[in-house]
Amino acid sequence: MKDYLKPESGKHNDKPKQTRPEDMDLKIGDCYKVNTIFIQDDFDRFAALSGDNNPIHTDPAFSARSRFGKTVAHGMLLYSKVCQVLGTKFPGPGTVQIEQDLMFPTPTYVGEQITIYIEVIDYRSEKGEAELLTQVQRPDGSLGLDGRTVVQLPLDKNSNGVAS
Amino acid sequence: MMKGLALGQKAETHRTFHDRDIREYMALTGDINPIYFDREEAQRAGFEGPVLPNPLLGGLFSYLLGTQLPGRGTNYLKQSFQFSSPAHIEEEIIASVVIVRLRPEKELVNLHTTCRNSTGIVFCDGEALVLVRDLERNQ
Repeated sequence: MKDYLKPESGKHNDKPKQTRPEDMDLKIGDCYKVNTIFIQDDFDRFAALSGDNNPIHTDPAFSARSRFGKTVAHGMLLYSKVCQVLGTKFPGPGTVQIEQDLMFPTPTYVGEQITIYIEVIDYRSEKGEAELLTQVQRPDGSLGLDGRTVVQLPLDKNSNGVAS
Repeated sequence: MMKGLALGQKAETHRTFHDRDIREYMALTGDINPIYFDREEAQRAGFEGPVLPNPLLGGLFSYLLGTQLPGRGTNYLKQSFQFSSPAHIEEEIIASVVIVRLRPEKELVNLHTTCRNSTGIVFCDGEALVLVRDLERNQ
C-alpha cells in the first residue's frame, strides 16, 4: 500500500487528515481506509433522522435479550460513512454517486472499531467515472457492509476534466 | 402467503427534508460533500443547486422496511440504488416499497424500492432483499 493511502488512526470524532494529493488521477487498485467507532448516541440520532426507531438500533436492553446481544448500526448509517469518504476524501469533494449496491452480511455493533475501505476497481477517464469497491470491515475481518458504487468524479480528480 | 406478506403489497411514506435535517446529517456522519450545501460546487458537479445526501433517501427505505412492510424484526440484507435525478431540500419525497418476490422456504422477501416526487420524477430506483425470520407480527 502506498504511503499516502495508509490508514489513519481512528477515534470517534477524530477529524481525519487529508492523505491523498489533490491533483492525482485515480488508478485501478488505489484505495483509502479510515477507522471509526459508533456510540449509542449515533444510532439514536440516525433513528431520529430516518424514523427507523427499530429497538435493535435504539434499545440496549431489548438488544441484550435478542440474538444480537447489543445494539446494531442501521445499514444506512454505515452507508453514510461510505459517503463521507467518497464525498470528502476519496475521490473527494464534488463526487456524485450514479449507482450503489449495498449488502449487509454481518451486524455492526455499537462500540466496535470498524474500517471504512474504498478501492478503485475501474476508472473510465473518458466518461469521468470510476467504479469503486465499498466496504465496512469489522474487527474479526467480516464485513458489515459490502458493495460497489459508480461515481462521477470531481473535475480536479479527472485528467480529461469531464464533469458528466 | 408468508407471515401475512403477499406479492404486490406496498408501503409508502411522504417526507420533506429541511435545512436542519441536512445540518444534522452532516454533523452526525461527517459526510460534508459540498454538493449538499454549496450552490457553486453543486453546479460544478452538473446540478442546478444543492442536492440531498443519498443515505437520507436510503433511510426512508430503512424506515419503511423496518417499521411498516415487512415490519419490526426485518433483517436488511441488500439494497441497490440507481440515482437518476437529484432530490432537494423542501421538496416532498414519496418513498415506496413493493413486494416483488417471496421465498417462504428461505424466509426472504424482495421489494422494489423507489423515491420520487409528486410529479413523478424518480430520484432513485432499486431493490431491497430482507430476511423475515425474526418478524414480530404474526398474521
